[in-house]
Amino acid sequence: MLVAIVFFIGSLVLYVNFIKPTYRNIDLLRAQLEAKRQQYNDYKSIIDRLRPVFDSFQSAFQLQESFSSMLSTEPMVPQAVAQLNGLASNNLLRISSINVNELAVASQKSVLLKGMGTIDLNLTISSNSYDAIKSFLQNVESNIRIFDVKRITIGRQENTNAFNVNFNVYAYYQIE
Amino acid sequence: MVYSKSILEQELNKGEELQVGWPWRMMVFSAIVFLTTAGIFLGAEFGFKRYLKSQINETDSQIDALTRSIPEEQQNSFLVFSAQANNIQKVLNDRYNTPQFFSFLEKNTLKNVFYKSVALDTKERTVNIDGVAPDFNILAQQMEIFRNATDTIDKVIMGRSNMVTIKDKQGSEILGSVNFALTLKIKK
Repeated sequence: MLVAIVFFIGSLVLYVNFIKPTYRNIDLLRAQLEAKRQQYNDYKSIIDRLRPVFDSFQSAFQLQESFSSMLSTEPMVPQAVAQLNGLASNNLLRISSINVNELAVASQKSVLLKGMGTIDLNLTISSNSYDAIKSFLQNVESNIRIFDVKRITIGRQENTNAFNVNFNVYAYYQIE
Repeated sequence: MVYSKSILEQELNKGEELQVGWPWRMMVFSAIVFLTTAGIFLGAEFGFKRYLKSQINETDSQIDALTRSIPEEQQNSFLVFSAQANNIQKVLNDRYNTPQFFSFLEKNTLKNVFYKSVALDTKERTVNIDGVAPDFNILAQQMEIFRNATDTIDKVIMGRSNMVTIKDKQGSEILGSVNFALTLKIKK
């Protein structure tokens, strides 16, 4: 009888001290496994859907080049200055001053949403021709590298017919 | 001589068998319960738990293999490419068409109104104009033109405006033109 009681108590001790914690661990492991399998299935479905996109992306060199020309992956300040100067020259305008200021980059919201950097180019131009200024503005807006005219002040010079124009043009670049 | 138990003896012996059999059965039952419990524990701890761990490791390595199936460099360049597409679209959508605004200004300005300076801020969507009009009546007409151009102009705010007096040959003051300042809030 005593041995039976010892076995019975032993069973209870085994259940409470060993089986219950083991089952708790097993429940956790099962949940972990389920989550991992779900993650695998999600990844698989995303990759299966993305693979054709990746394949076509690999062959879309021209599009990649166009995008990089519109929004380069580096600030490329000399290129921006040279392009603005070229556009001014094409319209017989002379840039009298350029001031470049690289603006702080906004924090990225996620790895998938890569932000942009901004360069603020402040230009001063003098010209006798309002049409040349308008044409320059049009050329700036249709330039392959995206320029965004943020501020423009046109004023007449005292005692002359010349215009003083001050531009704030933003040039952007993609952050990698 | 074969001794045979009487019915009474047989009945009396039954009670003794019972007393000896119950503890024994209890012990066997408890032992079975104990061994089953121990078996469940060992099976769960060293069997099922190990199986689950191996399954987790296997799924991890499958995920690794899946993510490695597209090289990291290719993933990065694709992410940059899609970010470029998004950002280009955003910039082009948000960008204000400045040449179009100047065309609007040319078309919507009275012939006898002149601008000394025009400052367009596309970020704040405001235009500050300093100009000259022959008189307050013309200035009011000009403001009305802007106010009616609801496709482009949201609000017309009149700033400081004053009549400039000039002296004639005799030295007496005559009314000249009106210097005005306007702020236009332009639509997005």
